[in-house]
Amino acid sequence: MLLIKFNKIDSFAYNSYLDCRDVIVQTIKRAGIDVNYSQGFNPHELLYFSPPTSLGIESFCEYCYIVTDYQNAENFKELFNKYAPAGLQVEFAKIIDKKPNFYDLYDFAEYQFIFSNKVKLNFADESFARKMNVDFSNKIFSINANENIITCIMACGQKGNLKPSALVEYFSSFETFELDKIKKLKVFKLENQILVNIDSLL
Amino acid sequence: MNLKYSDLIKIEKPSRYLGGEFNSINHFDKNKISNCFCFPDLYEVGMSHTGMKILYELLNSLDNSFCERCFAPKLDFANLLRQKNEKLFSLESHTELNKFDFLHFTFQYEMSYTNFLYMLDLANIPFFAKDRNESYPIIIGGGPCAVNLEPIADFLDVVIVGDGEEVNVKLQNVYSKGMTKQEFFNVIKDFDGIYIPMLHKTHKDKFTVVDYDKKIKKAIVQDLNKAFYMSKPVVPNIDIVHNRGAVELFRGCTRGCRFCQAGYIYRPVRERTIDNICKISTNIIQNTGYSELSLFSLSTGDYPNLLELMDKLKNEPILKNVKFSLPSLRLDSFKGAYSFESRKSSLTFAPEAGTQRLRDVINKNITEENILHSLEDAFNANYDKIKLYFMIGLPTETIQDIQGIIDLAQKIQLVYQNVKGAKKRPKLTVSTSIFVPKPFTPFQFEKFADESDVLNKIDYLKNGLRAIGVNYNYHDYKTSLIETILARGDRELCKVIEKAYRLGCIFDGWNEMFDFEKWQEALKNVDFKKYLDEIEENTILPWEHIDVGVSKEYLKKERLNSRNEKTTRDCRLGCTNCGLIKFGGCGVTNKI
Repeated sequence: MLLIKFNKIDSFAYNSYLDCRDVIVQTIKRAGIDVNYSQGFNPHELLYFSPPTSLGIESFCEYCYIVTDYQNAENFKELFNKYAPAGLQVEFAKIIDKKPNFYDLYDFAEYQFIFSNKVKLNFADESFARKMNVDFSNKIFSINANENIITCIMACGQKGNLKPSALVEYFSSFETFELDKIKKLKVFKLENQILVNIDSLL
Repeated sequence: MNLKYSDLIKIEKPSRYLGGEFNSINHFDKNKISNCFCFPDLYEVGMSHTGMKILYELLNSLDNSFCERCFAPKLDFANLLRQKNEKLFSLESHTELNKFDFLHFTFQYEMSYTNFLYMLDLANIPFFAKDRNESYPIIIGGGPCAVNLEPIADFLDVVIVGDGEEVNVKLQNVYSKGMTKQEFFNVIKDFDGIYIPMLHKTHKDKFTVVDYDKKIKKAIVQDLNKAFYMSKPVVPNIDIVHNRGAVELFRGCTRGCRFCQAGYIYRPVRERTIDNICKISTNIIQNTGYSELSLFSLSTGDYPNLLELMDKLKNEPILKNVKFSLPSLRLDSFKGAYSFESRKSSLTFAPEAGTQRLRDVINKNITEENILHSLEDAFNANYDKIKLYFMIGLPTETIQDIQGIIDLAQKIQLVYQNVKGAKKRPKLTVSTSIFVPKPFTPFQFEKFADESDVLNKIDYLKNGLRAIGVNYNYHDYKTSLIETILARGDRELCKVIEKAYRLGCIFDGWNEMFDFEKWQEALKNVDFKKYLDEIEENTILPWEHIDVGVSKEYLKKERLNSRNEKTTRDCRLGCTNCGLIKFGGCGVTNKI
């Protein structure tokens, strides 16, 4: 069985979760790699994806577990990337034995919000920080602004979930701006109050 | 393009406009001739069009040219472009349309004419060819409607009539020598398949072309096996109408149905060899990852070696898990085709008329026995969903012919009960469209049916089919009326179409978007009845200057045969002298 971590960037970020699944299946077929099928009236390829990222958000941390007898992970990565459309790239592939429970691993994700202009919001301002704490209790692990970028580690799992679009809407109640892009950079599991990148747990 | 996340996230399926699909090209080469293939409908519709994929790959295979794509955007995206002061751009390099050397528009149906203006408008390109100077692209029109593009002739620089594979390469080669638009038009004007509307004046009052006797001969690719065919079609990232590979088995049709424009304008029949089809099929599947392949033509069951082809395709290792679909099967043409389908979904057939008399009038050349036998086979092969297409408003049609549709549906139910048991009933759906007389068919002279007559017949069918438990869908009368006007129109309609667009008509082929009142307003000062009434056979027609090979005399003779309820044989059984022979021979004729 294979686990892949892939990026969904540029224009490709505007493909839905289901469309992305179909594109990955086609890419694997073009690469000439056989995937196992489900049994039943409508057999389908056995692929299990990490929780969806919202449309339009560029993601550098998507995961997929593929049921296949193909055993060469490095070769898989090379072939997949050769046959993938622009904006879809496998970062790593590895052989694993057991299907990971993505929902169990997902606690927080790091997002970058990139604006057209410098952001005026001041997260260091105590009264503002207090207000955010009330509005998003336990949903924001950290947040800071630098020039035109806001970086935020926020809840993305079953224990709590904050939609990036909700946060953007919140920002826009204080300031008008144009949002160039949103990037999802890493996913973490919270272990003993420490964020652990899930790459090391897979 | 300067659209950001905060813009794109507000529109439906932004992926439609952004490109990046597998097998698409990815850079705008300033040293080459730039082409953009424009489809006047949504991405999902346009990306299902095989012709576009062939020409896209063909132009990208040339040393001197490249080709990108653009589709009509939905209103939300158009509004965004307007709001941001952006122009319509190509998918690949996001280049504005007015920066290209050539824009190739395909017209698959007349109802897309306003969308053509919609795309030009969004690209900030003047509508009328006379208003476009050297800085604007050369606008080319093609597709099946090219046999009569007079209603939009004033907007087009060049019309390509017939097969595009060879003539498009010729145009690129001429243009690569470097010349002005006028010089370019002068060089290409005598090529087969090239019609330059502005070089052909029309009569002021009649709006038909003055020099109609200097015929524009359609372009024909003589040997499809030697012609270019795609091997690496662009694979869309989102689901589209026909999301599958497509292989054209043959071009043209020998059946001679008298209402069918495609059956006349795509003559002669040219077949691909089995080896060629297998090679194309394996290439497409290998290069796309598709799990479905459509083997299409105007009448797929007429491919002479279909069984042999199917066997060979099934034995190709790479096609092992591929599902094949055979669209456009005639009821009498190929019973064994059912075995090709691994999953028993629905079957669609088009008897077109309810009685044998009317089927003879339209030269459908199928009998009730054919229909019932084929459906018995289908029921035995476990199909239980059947869709049947008919037309209403056909020449000489009476209420008995409409009753014939109900009778036929009832007989089909009986056949099903004989196969499956007395208490069983098939899922039967009858759909009717309204007959639209099209240029270059024997019925091009016929009157378009009156509204009251059609609505009465629809009511009759609604009641009759409901009584026997058959589903019934029907097409809107008013859309077909406008389609007839546009199909048989002349240059007087250019201003009408412009006005319709200015009034807000776009996506006229979509029921929810079609606005008849706006069209009425656009037609207010035009005697549009002339496009709907019966045309006297000796009238000079708006499309008289186009020569698709089939002679007007033959069409008149066929019309007379229809009046006498006399059928004409399939030309595979013997030449019927349609006139194609003067185009350097007809593959079918040569076989006799």
